[in-house]
Amino acid sequence: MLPPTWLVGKKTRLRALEVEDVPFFKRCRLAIDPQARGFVIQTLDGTDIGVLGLLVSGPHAAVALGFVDERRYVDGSAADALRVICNGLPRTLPVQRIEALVPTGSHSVEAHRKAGFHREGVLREALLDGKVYRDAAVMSVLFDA
Amino acid sequence: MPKIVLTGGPGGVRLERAGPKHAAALRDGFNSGAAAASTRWHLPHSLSAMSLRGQQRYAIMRSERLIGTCRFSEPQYAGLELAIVIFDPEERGRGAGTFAVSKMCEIAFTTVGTHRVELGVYPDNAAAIRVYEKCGFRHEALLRRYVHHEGEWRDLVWMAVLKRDWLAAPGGRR
Repeated sequence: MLPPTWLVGKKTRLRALEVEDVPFFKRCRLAIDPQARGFVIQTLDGTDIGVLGLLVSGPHAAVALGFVDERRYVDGSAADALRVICNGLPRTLPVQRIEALVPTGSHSVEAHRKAGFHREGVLREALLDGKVYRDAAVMSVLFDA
Repeated sequence: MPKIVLTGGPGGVRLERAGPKHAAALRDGFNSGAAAASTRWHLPHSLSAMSLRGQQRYAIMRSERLIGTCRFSEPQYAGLELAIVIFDPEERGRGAGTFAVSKMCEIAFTTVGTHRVELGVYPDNAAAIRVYEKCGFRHEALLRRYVHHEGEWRDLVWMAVLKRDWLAAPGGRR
């Protein structure tokens, strides 16, 4: 069954995360808040390539990405999945800000920028990577709610 | 609840672990409106809401008068989030805030053991930003349209101090 049209982009589409996706989720090295909604990012032909976590809290939302293959951050897939959320979410919920914490120096920063995210600053030692805290760029896109 | 008192502030200012005896003064402080322009609290507080169970809240005292409060909460991003308010405008600029923030950092880094303390402040609250900078906080980000305050979306300056910086400060910050 195809997902709603708002969950389909030019290169990727999103489907809801199912229990059987948990091992795949772990392969994508993404830890998300238990309150967050999980999505599997697929290519348009239905291949699972990554995951997306989305936490909505009133007018604010936070998004996080993970991919099995890091090259997805540079081949346009990551930016496309982010555009899907940024284009569709404000049509569904009264969200006026979507933000992301992105490891500094990673290809993910550029993927977020391409999707319209603005870099607001760097939070020092804000992302736990294994046992090490790493700096994170806080990036956001705003909407009229 | 064990009585925790941290003394040594200017003019005898001290921090006390907040308890039932502070509840009425805390409620009145929050509800006075004197702090509304610079804080993220918006709705009136009830006495029962000030029961303080499970909160890491401290009362900022001058003599027997509660002049403000501060507390830790779950962080927006990482570590601990610190919130502080000096209720009485005449008490601002007299060192109580700097003392309280400094002591809260000491608690966070030496007792709780967190690696980072963070907070948000309105960009036009220059006096508060100066206090945080004096205590080692650094400006990390300008979060756009982050708080809805008195009818408009406002930006928030996000600041943080790391344990390693706090420990490495010349002479310590204690």
